Amino acid sequence: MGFKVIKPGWQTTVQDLGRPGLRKFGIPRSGVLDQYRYYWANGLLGNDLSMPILSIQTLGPKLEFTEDHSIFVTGSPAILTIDKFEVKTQGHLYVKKGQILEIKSRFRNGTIYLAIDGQWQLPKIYNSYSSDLLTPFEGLLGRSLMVDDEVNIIPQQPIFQNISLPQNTTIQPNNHQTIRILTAPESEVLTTSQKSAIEDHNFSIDPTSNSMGMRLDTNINFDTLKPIMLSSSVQVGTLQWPSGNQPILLLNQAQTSGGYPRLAQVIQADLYKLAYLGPGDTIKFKWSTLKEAFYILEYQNTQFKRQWSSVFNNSFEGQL
Amino acid sequence: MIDECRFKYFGETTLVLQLKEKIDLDQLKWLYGLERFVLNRYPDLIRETMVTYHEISITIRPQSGSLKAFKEKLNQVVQESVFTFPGNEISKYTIPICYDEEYALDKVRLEEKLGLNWNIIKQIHSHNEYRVYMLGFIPGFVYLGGMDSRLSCKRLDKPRTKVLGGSIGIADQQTGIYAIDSPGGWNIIGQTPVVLNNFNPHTFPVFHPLDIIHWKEIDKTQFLELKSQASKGINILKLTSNGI
Repeated sequence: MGFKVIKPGWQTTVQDLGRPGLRKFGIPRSGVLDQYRYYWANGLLGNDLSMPILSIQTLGPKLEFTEDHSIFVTGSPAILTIDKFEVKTQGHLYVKKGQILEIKSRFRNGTIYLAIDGQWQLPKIYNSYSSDLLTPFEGLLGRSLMVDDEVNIIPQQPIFQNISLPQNTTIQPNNHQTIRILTAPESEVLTTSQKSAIEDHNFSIDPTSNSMGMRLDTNINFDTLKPIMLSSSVQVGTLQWPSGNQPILLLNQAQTSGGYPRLAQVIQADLYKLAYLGPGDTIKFKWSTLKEAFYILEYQNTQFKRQWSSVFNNSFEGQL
Repeated sequence: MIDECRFKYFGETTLVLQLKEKIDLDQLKWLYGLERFVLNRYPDLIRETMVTYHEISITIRPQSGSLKAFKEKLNQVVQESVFTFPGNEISKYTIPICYDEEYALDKVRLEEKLGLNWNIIKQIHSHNEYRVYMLGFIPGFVYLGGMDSRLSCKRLDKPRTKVLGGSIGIADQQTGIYAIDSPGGWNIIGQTPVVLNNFNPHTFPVFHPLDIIHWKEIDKTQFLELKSQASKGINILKLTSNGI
């Protein structure tokens, strides 16, 4: 039951909502960046919403199924083959015991979420199944997939009512995204013109980026913005700026404190967009306000919940 | 006691209360006391807190109202209350440390930079009483304050790609313990055989903020013996007292 890893791909990890609340011990949050697509993948399979999914990057894995399972793929558009035959990617798919599922990304960047029906037989730590690439938790909790890993999943008999699939379970990657930001503790060291420079320039994502953070390349060059800077807390979505022209945008596997000025914080409603950006893509930042950020998040969550109830005839019971 | 206190927004759900940019025990006690206070007072409102040297960052639940309103509440609290950290929750430990050159990777560098011989360095380092100032940065890293300023030494120009868990390092005015193998730029003065990389919620974290630490020098033979005991799950860390 479950699957066996033939090829792990690059940084294929098990994820759920991660471990919020442990930053004070140096343990990253981990978890998915796009909670909406994570919930759709499990929900449309009829899975328990607390089940993990596989988070797949550009170089996807090759998995041999050790039991019949239904699967659902969301996130960035994928190319799926079952025993080398390309199959549709929209909707429910069935993979039989012994078949090999290969997942590739259709585009150069973007995270793909793969949900597999049933109860995943994995340990949890701090109430999460998420792979943490920084903390040496045991087994898959502390690393990405490796060849010959086996994950046991007890299949359930999914009951598919005749549901109409929502439109936006996949996201077309956009090579250029606008990301809205709010102030962070060191934003005030910026002069007005420096602040607008951040809005006026493009930032391109450097190839050295990973799931800890994106290194961004830009024409803006900031000399030492702050001479003394004690180690201070950072969050998922913090824009840190060491002197020079390579700021760092922290992601969900990031360290929990840092000694670089924190110049901005991505609004929560835009965090999911970061799951679909990667090397070569560009970002434009736009300063937002607390009010606007709240409004956008509220709107986005309401839309999601509304869509969820119309698909399932049930209200959404996860946590956003 | 608090000279400066400023509020900063950090995204839409996090408020940072920032004190004077200095590393200071009294300031940290105040911050940890405040952390304790707000967690007790607003359990339903707060999602996460984190104290670093001169800040407390408080993340509220998204549905619990505006950050501005929370700032007003917190401002009132800070004006009205006195914060102390309960002494009965502070533990005192004696940690074995081996300064043998096999573990003290920066022995030569430290001798040169500090202009002191190894015996003196060991003596100064193991003499003082240290306090856990904060945890974090990388999983389980323990920041200790209280080091003698004669041992203050700049970080390595080029960080090592791997420092072993248990290594004890010096960076400027601080000393710290690496819990896990990781890249690192601190000057490594020794290693402890105490196991710090077990992240099981029942055993982690080993040390808590404001805990008091004393070092006990051990030689290489003792180190290896203790290390092997520790790997069998025997507790080799000495709790000197619970509560101060």
